[in-house]
Amino acid sequence: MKIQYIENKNSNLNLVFVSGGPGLSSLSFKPLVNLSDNFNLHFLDAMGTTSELKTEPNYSNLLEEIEDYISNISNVVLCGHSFGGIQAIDITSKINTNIIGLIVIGSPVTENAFKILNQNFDIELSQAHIDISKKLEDSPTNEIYKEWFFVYRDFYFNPKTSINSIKVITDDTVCVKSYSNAIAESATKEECLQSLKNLNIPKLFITGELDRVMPPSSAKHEADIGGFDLAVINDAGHFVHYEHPNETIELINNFLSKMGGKK
Amino acid sequence: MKMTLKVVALLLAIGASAQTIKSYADEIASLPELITEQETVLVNLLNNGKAELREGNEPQVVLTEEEKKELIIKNMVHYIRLIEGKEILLEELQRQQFPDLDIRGILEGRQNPGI
Repeated sequence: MKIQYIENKNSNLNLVFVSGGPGLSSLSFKPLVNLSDNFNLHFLDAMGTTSELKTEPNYSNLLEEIEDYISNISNVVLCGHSFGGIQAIDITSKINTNIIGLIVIGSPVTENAFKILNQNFDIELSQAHIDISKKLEDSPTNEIYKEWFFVYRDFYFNPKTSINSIKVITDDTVCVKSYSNAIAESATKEECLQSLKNLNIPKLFITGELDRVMPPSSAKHEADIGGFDLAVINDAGHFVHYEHPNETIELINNFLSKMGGKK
Repeated sequence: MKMTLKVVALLLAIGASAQTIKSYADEIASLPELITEQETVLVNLLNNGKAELREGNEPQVVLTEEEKKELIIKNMVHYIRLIEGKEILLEELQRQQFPDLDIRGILEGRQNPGI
C-alpha cells in the first residue's frame, strides 16, 4: 500500500480515504484536498495500484492492509467510496476504538442494494457493453478494466459530463486482479452494516442524485439500516465526490464540525 | 447394505453425464421409489462418518474426506433433480453468499459491475 499524507498541525482528526473498484487508486479523492485546511488527510492507494502486489489481493488481504495502517493512528474518520465504503463499514463494525467517525459514499451493502444495482446495470445495455464485459472476462488486464469503465461511463458518472469525468479512471493506475479477487466477497457484508446501527459514532452516507449504483432511495435504505445521516448531492453520479468536490467538502466539513471540537 | 454407495456413485456418474431418453422415461415411471431410495442413500452417507463401503467379500473402501464430500454433494444434487427442485436450487444459490465465488457470473454468464 502507498499512502499520501497531508498534515494539518492544528488538527487531531485523521481523515482516511479508502477507494473503490476494487482496484482503483485514491485519484478520485484528490479534488477533496482542500479538506486539509481543517484535518489531517490520508490518501490510501491499495496494493497493486500505485505499488506492487505484496500478496494475493483478495478481500481479506485488502482489508488487512487498511487495518494495519490505521491501527497506528488516533482519532480516525474513515471515508470510503463504494467498495472502499464497504471496507470502511467492515472495519468500523469491529468496534475499533480509534475510529471516531464514518463517511460512506455510494456503497451498496445489503442484498436489496445489490439487487437494485444489478437491475440498473442491465438497463440500456448495448452490444458494446456486452462485448467489453466478455473481453474483460476473457482477458482481465488492467487496460481492459479501464476500457470496461470507459464503455460503462454513463453508469458511473453524470451522463452529461461522463466523457470528461471518466478520465479519473482511464488516467488511473488500476489493479484488475483486486477486482477479480475481491468483488464477490464485498457483497457479503450486510451484517456489518446492521451492527453499526447501535454504534454511537457519527456516520454520514453520501450519494449522488443520478447515481445508478446507489440511487437515493437505495441509499436511504442502507443509511437507515446502519444508522447513518443521509446526504444527496444534485446532478452527481456514482463518483459524487469527484464530480462535485466543493459540495462534498462542505458536507464533510459540516459533518465533522459537529463532532465537538475535533476539527 | 444392499445398495452400496459405490454402486450409487457409479449410477450417478452415468446418470449425470450420459442419460438417455429411455432411462429418463424409466426414471419418471418409478420416481417415488427412486426418491425414497435416494433419501436412504443420503441418510446413510451423512450418518456414516468415515465411510466404510463394502459389498459381500469386497475389500473395504475407505473414502478420503474430499471423496466423501464429493459423493454427498453429487447425491444431494441428484436428489434435487429427482424432486424437481432445480429452480429452487438456483434461486437459493443466488441468495446465498459465497465469499470466493461470483455466483452471478457463474449463473448468468457475466461478472458483477465494479463498485
